[in-house]
Amino acid sequence: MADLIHLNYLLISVINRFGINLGFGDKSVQEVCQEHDVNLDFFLEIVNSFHDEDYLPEEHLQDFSVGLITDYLSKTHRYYLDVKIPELEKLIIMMVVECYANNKHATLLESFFREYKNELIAHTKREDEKVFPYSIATELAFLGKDNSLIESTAPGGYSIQEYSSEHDDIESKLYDLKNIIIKYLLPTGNQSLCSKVLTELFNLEKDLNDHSRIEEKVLIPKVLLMEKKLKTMK
Amino acid sequence: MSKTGFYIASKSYLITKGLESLLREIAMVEIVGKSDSSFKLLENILNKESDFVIISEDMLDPQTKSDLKKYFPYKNKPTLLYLKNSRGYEKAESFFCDSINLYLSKNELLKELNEIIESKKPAGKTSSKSSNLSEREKIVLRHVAMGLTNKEIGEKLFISIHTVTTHRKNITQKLGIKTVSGLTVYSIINGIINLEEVSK
Ligand SMILES: [Fe+2]
Ligand SMILES: [Fe+2]
Repeated sequence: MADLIHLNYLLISVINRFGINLGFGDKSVQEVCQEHDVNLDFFLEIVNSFHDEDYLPEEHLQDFSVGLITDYLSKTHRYYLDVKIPELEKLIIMMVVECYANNKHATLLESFFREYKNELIAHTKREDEKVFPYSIATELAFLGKDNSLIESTAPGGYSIQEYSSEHDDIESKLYDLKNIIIKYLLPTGNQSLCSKVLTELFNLEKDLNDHSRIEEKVLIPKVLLMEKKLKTMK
Repeated sequence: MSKTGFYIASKSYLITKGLESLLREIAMVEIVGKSDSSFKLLENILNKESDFVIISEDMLDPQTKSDLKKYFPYKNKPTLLYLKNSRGYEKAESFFCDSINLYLSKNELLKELNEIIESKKPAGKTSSKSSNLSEREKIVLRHVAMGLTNKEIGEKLFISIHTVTTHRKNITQKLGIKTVSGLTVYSIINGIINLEEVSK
Protein backbone atom coordinates (compact mmCIF):
# COMPACT_ATOMS: atom_id res chain seq x y z
CA MET A 1 0.00 0.00 0.00
CA ALA A 2 2.85 2.38 0.81
CA ASP A 3 4.27 1.81 -2.69
CA LEU A 4 0.96 2.93 -4.10
CA ILE A 5 1.20 6.27 -2.35
CA HIS A 6 4.80 6.68 -3.44
CA LEU A 7 3.66 6.08 -6.98
CA ASN A 8 1.09 8.85 -6.83
CA TYR A 9 0.72 10.95 -3.72
CA LEU A 10 -2.63 12.30 -4.90
CA LEU A 11 -4.03 8.88 -4.00
CA ILE A 12 -3.72 9.79 -0.32
CA SER A 13 -7.03 11.59 -0.56
CA VAL A 14 -8.61 8.64 -2.37
CA ILE A 15 -7.67 6.09 0.26
CA ASN A 16 -9.02 8.44 2.90
CA ARG A 17 -12.40 8.27 1.22
CA PHE A 18 -12.38 4.55 1.75
CA GLY A 19 -11.77 5.12 5.42
CA ILE A 20 -8.19 3.95 5.19
CA ASN A 21 -5.76 5.93 7.32
CA LEU A 22 -2.03 6.29 7.01
CA GLY A 23 0.40 4.26 9.09
CA PHE A 24 -0.19 0.95 7.37
CA GLY A 25 3.44 -0.16 7.63
CA ASP A 26 4.41 -2.77 5.07
CA LYS A 27 0.98 -4.26 4.69
CA SER A 28 -0.12 -5.06 1.16
CA VAL A 29 -3.05 -3.42 -0.52
CA GLN A 30 -5.04 -6.60 -0.02
CA GLU A 31 -4.32 -6.74 3.71
CA VAL A 32 -5.19 -3.11 4.27
CA CYS A 33 -8.43 -3.47 2.32
CA GLN A 34 -9.39 -6.55 4.29
CA GLU A 35 -8.73 -4.78 7.55
CA HIS A 36 -10.96 -1.88 6.62
CA ASP A 37 -13.61 -4.02 5.04
CA VAL A 38 -13.04 -2.47 1.62
CA ASN A 39 -13.88 -4.35 -1.56
CA LEU A 40 -10.43 -4.99 -3.02
CA ASP A 41 -11.42 -5.22 -6.69
CA PHE A 42 -13.47 -2.06 -6.47
CA PHE A 43 -10.66 -0.25 -4.68
CA LEU A 44 -8.18 -1.24 -7.39
CA GLU A 45 -10.43 -0.11 -10.22
CA ILE A 46 -11.00 3.26 -8.57
CA VAL A 47 -7.32 3.76 -7.86
CA ASN A 48 -6.34 2.79 -11.38
CA SER A 49 -8.83 5.09 -12.99
CA PHE A 50 -7.73 7.94 -10.76
CA HIS A 51 -4.07 7.37 -11.40
CA ASP A 52 -4.25 6.92 -15.15
CA GLU A 53 -6.70 9.01 -17.11
CA ASP A 54 -6.37 6.75 -20.12
CA TYR A 55 -7.25 3.68 -18.14
CA LEU A 56 -10.82 2.86 -18.97
CA PRO A 57 -12.37 1.13 -16.03
CA GLU A 58 -15.92 1.74 -17.21
CA GLU A 59 -16.63 -1.84 -18.10
CA HIS A 60 -15.07 -3.32 -15.00
CA LEU A 61 -16.61 -0.74 -12.72
CA GLN A 62 -20.03 -1.52 -14.06
CA ASP A 63 -19.74 -4.96 -12.52
CA PHE A 64 -19.96 -3.44 -9.07
CA SER A 65 -23.24 -2.68 -7.39
CA VAL A 66 -24.85 0.73 -7.62
CA GLY A 67 -24.71 0.86 -3.84
CA LEU A 68 -20.94 0.51 -3.85
CA ILE A 69 -20.46 3.07 -6.60
CA THR A 70 -22.76 5.72 -5.16
CA ASP A 71 -21.29 5.20 -1.73
CA TYR A 72 -17.88 6.07 -3.12
CA LEU A 73 -19.27 9.04 -5.03
CA SER A 74 -21.04 10.37 -1.94
CA LYS A 75 -17.91 10.01 0.14
CA THR A 76 -16.07 11.95 -2.53
CA HIS A 77 -18.69 14.71 -2.28
CA ARG A 78 -18.10 14.89 1.46
CA TYR A 79 -14.38 15.12 0.86
CA TYR A 80 -14.90 18.07 -1.49
CA LEU A 81 -17.31 19.92 0.73
CA ASP A 82 -15.86 19.15 4.15
CA VAL A 83 -12.16 19.16 3.34
CA LYS A 84 -11.14 20.67 0.03
CA ILE A 85 -13.52 23.58 -0.32
CA PRO A 86 -12.99 24.99 3.19
CA GLU A 87 -9.24 24.58 2.71
CA LEU A 88 -9.29 26.41 -0.57
CA GLU A 89 -11.59 29.09 0.74
CA LYS A 90 -9.14 29.89 3.51
CA LEU A 91 -6.24 29.90 1.09
CA ILE A 92 -8.01 32.23 -1.29
CA ILE A 93 -8.92 34.68 1.44
CA MET A 94 -5.28 34.65 2.51
CA MET A 95 -4.14 35.03 -1.06
CA VAL A 96 -6.25 38.13 -1.62
CA VAL A 97 -4.60 39.81 1.34
CA GLU A 98 -1.07 38.55 0.96
CA CYS A 99 -0.58 38.28 -2.78
CA TYR A 100 -2.65 41.10 -4.18
CA ALA A 101 -2.60 43.70 -1.44
CA ASN A 102 -2.57 46.57 -3.90
CA ASN A 103 -5.18 45.25 -6.24
CA LYS A 104 -8.66 46.40 -5.41
CA HIS A 105 -10.16 43.85 -7.76
CA ALA A 106 -8.66 40.83 -6.05
CA THR A 107 -11.59 40.46 -3.69
CA LEU A 108 -13.54 39.39 -6.75
CA LEU A 109 -11.73 36.09 -6.41
CA GLU A 110 -13.42 35.58 -3.07
CA SER A 111 -16.91 36.18 -4.37
CA PHE A 112 -16.17 34.12 -7.45
CA PHE A 113 -15.09 31.21 -5.32
CA ARG A 114 -18.08 31.56 -3.00
CA GLU A 115 -20.35 31.42 -6.01
CA TYR A 116 -18.58 28.29 -7.12
CA LYS A 117 -18.93 26.74 -3.71
CA ASN A 118 -22.70 27.29 -3.74
CA GLU A 119 -22.91 25.73 -7.16
CA LEU A 120 -21.00 22.70 -5.98
CA ILE A 121 -23.17 22.36 -2.89
CA ALA A 122 -26.33 22.43 -4.97
CA HIS A 123 -24.89 20.01 -7.48
CA THR A 124 -23.81 17.39 -4.96
CA LYS A 125 -26.97 17.83 -2.92
CA ARG A 126 -29.12 16.93 -5.87
CA GLU A 127 -27.05 13.85 -6.52
CA ASP A 128 -26.97 12.73 -2.90
CA GLU A 129 -30.64 13.36 -2.24
CA LYS A 130 -32.24 12.45 -5.51
CA VAL A 131 -30.08 10.76 -8.11
CA PHE A 132 -28.23 8.29 -5.92
CA PRO A 133 -31.26 7.10 -3.88
CA TYR A 134 -33.18 6.67 -7.11
CA SER A 135 -30.30 4.68 -8.64
CA ILE A 136 -30.14 2.39 -5.63
CA ALA A 137 -33.91 1.90 -5.69
CA THR A 138 -33.74 1.03 -9.37
CA GLU A 139 -31.16 -1.60 -8.64
CA LEU A 140 -33.25 -3.10 -5.86
CA ALA A 141 -36.25 -3.27 -8.15
CA PHE A 142 -34.11 -4.77 -10.85
CA LEU A 143 -32.86 -7.48 -8.54
CA GLY A 144 -36.48 -8.24 -7.77
CA LYS A 145 -36.18 -7.27 -4.16
CA ASP A 146 -38.31 -4.22 -3.72
CA ASN A 147 -40.25 -2.31 -6.33
CA SER A 148 -41.82 0.20 -4.00
CA LEU A 149 -38.67 2.21 -3.36
CA ILE A 150 -38.54 3.75 -6.82
CA GLU A 151 -41.81 5.54 -6.28
CA SER A 152 -40.79 6.82 -2.86
CA THR A 153 -37.35 8.08 -3.92
CA ALA A 154 -38.68 9.67 -7.09
CA PRO A 155 -42.31 10.60 -6.70
CA GLY A 156 -43.93 11.33 -10.00
CA GLY A 157 -41.38 9.32 -11.92
CA TYR A 158 -37.80 10.01 -12.84
CA SER A 159 -35.32 8.69 -15.31
CA ILE A 160 -31.58 8.64 -15.17
CA GLN A 161 -31.80 10.11 -18.65
CA GLU A 162 -33.05 13.31 -17.09
CA TYR A 163 -30.00 13.44 -14.84
CA SER A 164 -27.75 12.64 -17.75
CA SER A 165 -29.00 15.58 -19.80
CA GLU A 166 -28.95 18.03 -16.90
CA HIS A 167 -25.67 16.95 -15.42
CA ASP A 168 -23.77 20.21 -15.68
CA ASP A 169 -20.06 20.36 -15.44
CA ILE A 170 -18.59 21.60 -12.23
CA GLU A 171 -15.08 22.05 -13.55
CA SER A 172 -15.45 25.10 -15.80
CA LYS A 173 -15.43 27.64 -13.02
CA LEU A 174 -12.30 26.14 -11.52
CA TYR A 175 -10.68 26.27 -14.92
CA ASP A 176 -11.56 29.96 -15.16
CA LEU A 177 -10.29 30.69 -11.67
CA LYS A 178 -6.99 29.08 -12.53
CA ASN A 179 -6.59 31.15 -15.66
CA ILE A 180 -7.49 34.38 -13.90
CA ILE A 181 -4.75 33.70 -11.37
CA ILE A 182 -2.27 32.45 -13.95
CA LYS A 183 -2.85 35.04 -16.63
CA TYR A 184 -4.60 38.12 -15.40
CA LEU A 185 -3.59 39.08 -11.89
CA LEU A 186 -0.16 40.36 -11.05
CA PRO A 187 0.84 39.19 -7.58
CA THR A 188 2.69 41.80 -5.58
CA GLY A 189 3.38 39.74 -2.48
CA ASN A 190 3.70 36.15 -1.32
CA GLN A 191 4.36 34.27 -4.57
CA SER A 192 4.57 30.86 -2.97
CA LEU A 193 1.05 31.19 -1.67
CA CYS A 194 -0.13 31.77 -5.23
CA SER A 195 1.60 28.59 -6.38
CA LYS A 196 0.05 26.70 -3.52
CA VAL A 197 -3.44 27.86 -4.42
CA LEU A 198 -2.85 26.96 -8.05
CA THR A 199 -1.55 23.51 -7.20
CA GLU A 200 -4.63 22.91 -5.08
CA LEU A 201 -6.89 24.09 -7.88
CA PHE A 202 -5.22 21.82 -10.40
CA ASN A 203 -5.54 18.86 -8.07
CA LEU A 204 -9.17 19.51 -7.29
CA GLU A 205 -9.97 19.92 -10.96
CA LYS A 206 -8.36 16.59 -11.73
CA ASP A 207 -10.25 14.95 -8.90
CA LEU A 208 -13.56 16.41 -10.09
CA ASN A 209 -12.88 15.24 -13.63
CA ASP A 210 -12.34 11.72 -12.41
CA HIS A 211 -15.47 11.92 -10.28
CA SER A 212 -17.69 13.16 -13.10
CA ARG A 213 -16.28 10.50 -15.35
CA ILE A 214 -17.47 7.79 -12.97
CA GLU A 215 -20.91 9.39 -12.78
CA GLU A 216 -21.25 9.69 -16.52
CA LYS A 217 -19.44 6.68 -17.83
CA VAL A 218 -20.25 4.17 -15.10
CA LEU A 219 -23.29 5.09 -13.07
CA ILE A 220 -25.55 6.50 -15.79
CA PRO A 221 -25.09 3.67 -18.33
CA LYS A 222 -25.51 1.07 -15.62
CA VAL A 223 -28.77 2.50 -14.32
CA LEU A 224 -29.97 3.17 -17.84
CA LEU A 225 -29.56 -0.49 -18.71
CA MET A 226 -31.50 -1.57 -15.63
CA GLU A 227 -34.27 0.89 -16.43
CA LYS A 228 -34.58 -0.59 -19.92
CA LYS A 229 -34.67 -4.15 -18.66
CA LEU A 230 -37.20 -3.24 -15.99
CA LYS A 231 -39.47 -1.85 -18.66
CA THR A 232 -39.37 -5.01 -20.73
CA MET A 233 -39.95 -7.15 -17.63
CA LYS A 234 -43.25 -5.41 -16.93
CA MET B 1 7.45 23.62 -30.62
CA SER B 2 5.90 22.50 -33.88
CA LYS B 3 6.22 24.33 -37.17
CA THR B 4 3.57 26.58 -38.59
CA GLY B 5 2.22 25.06 -41.79
CA PHE B 6 1.30 27.13 -44.84
CA TYR B 7 -0.73 26.16 -47.87
CA ILE B 8 -0.46 28.25 -51.01
CA ALA B 9 -3.34 28.50 -53.45
CA SER B 10 -2.73 30.54 -56.57
CA LYS B 11 -2.85 29.96 -60.30
CA SER B 12 0.08 32.28 -60.78
CA TYR B 13 3.50 30.65 -61.05
CA LEU B 14 5.27 33.82 -60.02
CA ILE B 15 3.13 34.38 -56.96
CA THR B 16 3.52 30.79 -55.81
CA LYS B 17 7.30 30.84 -56.26
CA GLY B 18 7.55 34.23 -54.62
CA LEU B 19 5.56 33.15 -51.58
CA GLU B 20 7.54 29.95 -51.27
CA SER B 21 10.85 31.71 -51.14
CA LEU B 22 9.48 34.32 -48.76
CA LEU B 23 8.04 31.78 -46.34
CA ARG B 24 11.31 29.85 -46.30
CA GLU B 25 12.92 32.86 -44.71
CA ILE B 26 10.65 32.74 -41.69
CA ALA B 27 11.75 30.51 -38.82
CA MET B 28 9.59 27.54 -37.87
CA VAL B 29 7.47 27.75 -40.98
CA GLU B 30 6.94 25.00 -43.54
CA ILE B 31 4.95 24.73 -46.73
CA VAL B 32 2.63 21.77 -46.44
CA GLY B 33 0.96 22.01 -49.81
CA LYS B 34 0.00 24.13 -52.77
CA SER B 35 -2.52 24.17 -55.53
CA ASP B 36 -2.64 25.94 -58.85
CA SER B 37 -6.22 25.15 -59.66
CA SER B 38 -9.37 26.08 -57.85
CA PHE B 39 -10.95 22.72 -58.63
CA LYS B 40 -11.80 21.01 -55.33
CA LEU B 41 -9.75 23.61 -53.51
CA LEU B 42 -11.63 23.18 -50.22
CA GLU B 43 -11.06 19.45 -50.26
CA ASN B 44 -7.39 19.86 -51.01
CA ILE B 45 -6.98 22.37 -48.22
CA LEU B 46 -8.73 20.23 -45.65
CA ASN B 47 -6.63 17.25 -46.68
CA LYS B 48 -3.44 18.95 -45.61
CA GLU B 49 -2.80 19.84 -42.01
CA SER B 50 -2.03 23.50 -42.38
CA ASP B 51 -2.31 26.47 -40.04
CA PHE B 52 -2.64 29.09 -42.75
CA VAL B 53 -3.84 29.08 -46.31
CA ILE B 54 -2.90 31.95 -48.57
CA ILE B 55 -5.39 32.33 -51.40
CA SER B 56 -4.93 34.71 -54.28
CA GLU B 57 -7.77 36.44 -56.02
CA ASP B 58 -7.69 34.33 -59.20
CA MET B 59 -8.80 31.26 -57.23
CA LEU B 60 -12.07 32.72 -56.12
CA ASP B 61 -14.60 31.51 -58.67
CA PRO B 62 -18.22 31.31 -57.49
CA GLN B 63 -18.07 27.57 -56.73
CA THR B 64 -14.94 27.88 -54.60
CA LYS B 65 -16.36 30.88 -52.79
CA SER B 66 -19.50 29.05 -51.81
CA ASP B 67 -17.48 25.99 -50.73
CA LEU B 68 -15.24 28.09 -48.52
CA LYS B 69 -18.14 30.00 -47.04
CA LYS B 70 -19.56 26.83 -45.61
CA TYR B 71 -16.44 26.08 -43.61
CA PHE B 72 -14.89 29.38 -42.71
CA PRO B 73 -14.51 31.24 -40.45
CA TYR B 74 -16.40 28.81 -38.21
CA LYS B 75 -13.69 26.24 -38.49
CA ASN B 76 -10.84 27.70 -36.50
CA LYS B 77 -8.08 25.93 -38.36
CA PRO B 78 -6.65 26.63 -40.86
CA THR B 79 -6.85 30.38 -41.07
CA LEU B 80 -7.50 31.77 -44.54
CA LEU B 81 -5.42 34.72 -45.69
CA TYR B 82 -6.36 36.79 -48.71
CA LEU B 83 -3.61 37.84 -51.05
CA LYS B 84 -5.05 41.02 -52.39
CA ASN B 85 -4.20 42.63 -55.64
CA SER B 86 -4.29 46.30 -54.88
CA ARG B 87 -3.02 48.78 -52.38
CA GLY B 88 -6.37 50.40 -51.90
CA TYR B 89 -9.15 49.41 -49.59
CA GLU B 90 -10.87 46.31 -50.78
CA LYS B 91 -13.37 44.33 -48.81
CA ALA B 92 -12.29 40.72 -48.51
CA GLU B 93 -14.80 37.87 -48.37
CA SER B 94 -15.98 37.06 -44.86
CA PHE B 95 -14.22 33.72 -44.77
CA PHE B 96 -10.85 35.42 -44.70
CA CYS B 97 -9.36 36.28 -41.34
CA ASP B 98 -6.70 38.59 -42.62
CA SER B 99 -5.17 39.79 -45.83
CA ILE B 100 -1.75 40.56 -47.22
CA ASN B 101 -0.96 42.83 -50.07
CA LEU B 102 0.75 41.55 -53.19
CA TYR B 103 2.58 44.81 -53.75
CA LEU B 104 4.32 45.15 -50.40
CA SER B 105 8.08 45.16 -50.19
CA LYS B 106 9.86 42.10 -48.89
CA ASN B 107 10.45 43.57 -45.46
CA GLU B 108 6.89 44.73 -45.12
CA LEU B 109 5.63 41.30 -46.11
CA LEU B 110 7.87 39.53 -43.61
CA LYS B 111 6.70 41.85 -40.88
CA GLU B 112 3.03 41.29 -41.69
CA LEU B 113 3.37 37.53 -41.94
CA ASN B 114 5.23 37.36 -38.65
CA GLU B 115 2.52 39.36 -36.97
CA ILE B 116 -0.18 37.12 -38.38
CA ILE B 117 1.64 33.97 -37.26
CA GLU B 118 2.19 35.40 -33.77
CA SER B 119 -1.43 36.46 -33.37
CA LYS B 120 -2.70 32.96 -34.08
CA LYS B 121 -0.53 31.07 -31.66
CA PRO B 122 -2.65 29.27 -29.07
CA ALA B 123 -3.07 30.84 -25.67
CA GLY B 124 -0.39 30.05 -23.17
CA LYS B 125 2.36 29.58 -25.70
CA THR B 126 2.96 33.23 -26.35
CA SER B 127 2.82 36.43 -24.43
CA SER B 128 -0.20 38.60 -23.83
CA LYS B 129 -0.74 38.92 -27.57
CA SER B 130 -3.14 36.00 -27.61
CA SER B 131 -5.43 37.72 -25.15
CA ASN B 132 -5.74 40.76 -27.34
CA LEU B 133 -9.40 41.03 -28.12
CA SER B 134 -10.63 42.91 -31.14
CA GLU B 135 -12.73 46.01 -30.52
CA ARG B 136 -15.83 44.12 -31.56
CA GLU B 137 -15.06 41.27 -29.18
CA LYS B 138 -14.54 43.73 -26.36
CA ILE B 139 -17.97 45.20 -26.97
CA VAL B 140 -19.56 41.76 -26.97
CA LEU B 141 -17.64 40.83 -23.83
CA ARG B 142 -18.87 43.98 -22.13
CA HIS B 143 -22.44 42.92 -22.70
CA VAL B 144 -21.80 39.34 -21.65
CA ALA B 145 -20.23 40.55 -18.44
CA MET B 146 -23.25 42.71 -17.73
CA GLY B 147 -25.35 39.59 -17.88
CA LEU B 148 -27.06 39.95 -21.26
CA THR B 149 -28.09 36.86 -23.17
CA ASN B 150 -26.83 36.16 -26.67
CA LYS B 151 -30.18 37.15 -28.08
CA GLU B 152 -30.20 40.48 -26.27
CA ILE B 153 -26.65 41.20 -27.38
CA GLY B 154 -27.55 40.43 -30.98
CA GLU B 155 -30.48 42.82 -30.83
CA LYS B 156 -28.42 45.56 -29.27
CA LEU B 157 -25.56 45.33 -31.73
CA PHE B 158 -27.67 44.49 -34.77
CA ILE B 159 -25.91 41.21 -35.42
CA SER B 160 -27.27 37.68 -35.66
CA ILE B 161 -27.23 35.31 -32.69
CA HIS B 162 -24.93 33.17 -34.75
CA THR B 163 -22.38 35.99 -34.97
CA VAL B 164 -22.66 36.59 -31.23
CA THR B 165 -21.94 32.91 -30.58
CA THR B 166 -18.92 33.03 -32.87
CA HIS B 167 -17.61 36.08 -31.02
CA ARG B 168 -18.16 34.38 -27.70
CA LYS B 169 -16.32 31.26 -28.82
CA ASN B 170 -13.38 33.36 -29.91
CA ILE B 171 -13.39 35.34 -26.68
CA THR B 172 -13.38 32.17 -24.60
CA GLN B 173 -10.61 30.70 -26.68
CA LYS B 174 -8.45 33.80 -26.53
CA LEU B 175 -8.90 34.42 -22.81
CA GLY B 176 -9.07 30.85 -21.56
CA ILE B 177 -12.24 31.68 -19.63
CA LYS B 178 -15.45 29.75 -20.16
CA THR B 179 -18.09 30.87 -17.70
CA VAL B 180 -20.04 34.13 -17.56
CA SER B 181 -18.89 34.89 -14.02
CA GLY B 182 -15.32 34.23 -15.07
CA LEU B 183 -15.70 36.64 -17.98
CA THR B 184 -17.17 39.23 -15.62
CA VAL B 185 -14.18 38.98 -13.29
CA TYR B 186 -11.84 39.32 -16.26
CA SER B 187 -13.73 42.37 -17.54
CA ILE B 188 -13.57 44.13 -14.21
CA ILE B 189 -9.87 43.41 -13.70
CA ASN B 190 -9.11 44.71 -17.17
CA GLY B 191 -11.31 47.76 -17.00
CA ILE B 192 -13.73 46.63 -19.69
CA ILE B 193 -16.57 47.28 -17.27
CA ASN B 194 -16.54 48.65 -13.76
CA LEU B 195 -17.90 47.18 -10.60
CA GLU B 196 -20.81 49.59 -10.30
CA GLU B 197 -22.12 48.56 -13.69
CA VAL B 198 -22.35 44.92 -12.68
CA SER B 199 -23.95 45.38 -9.32
CA LYS B 200 -26.81 47.33 -10.89
FE1 LIG C 1 -21.03 14.07 -8.00
FE1 LIG D 1 -21.91 15.37 -10.72
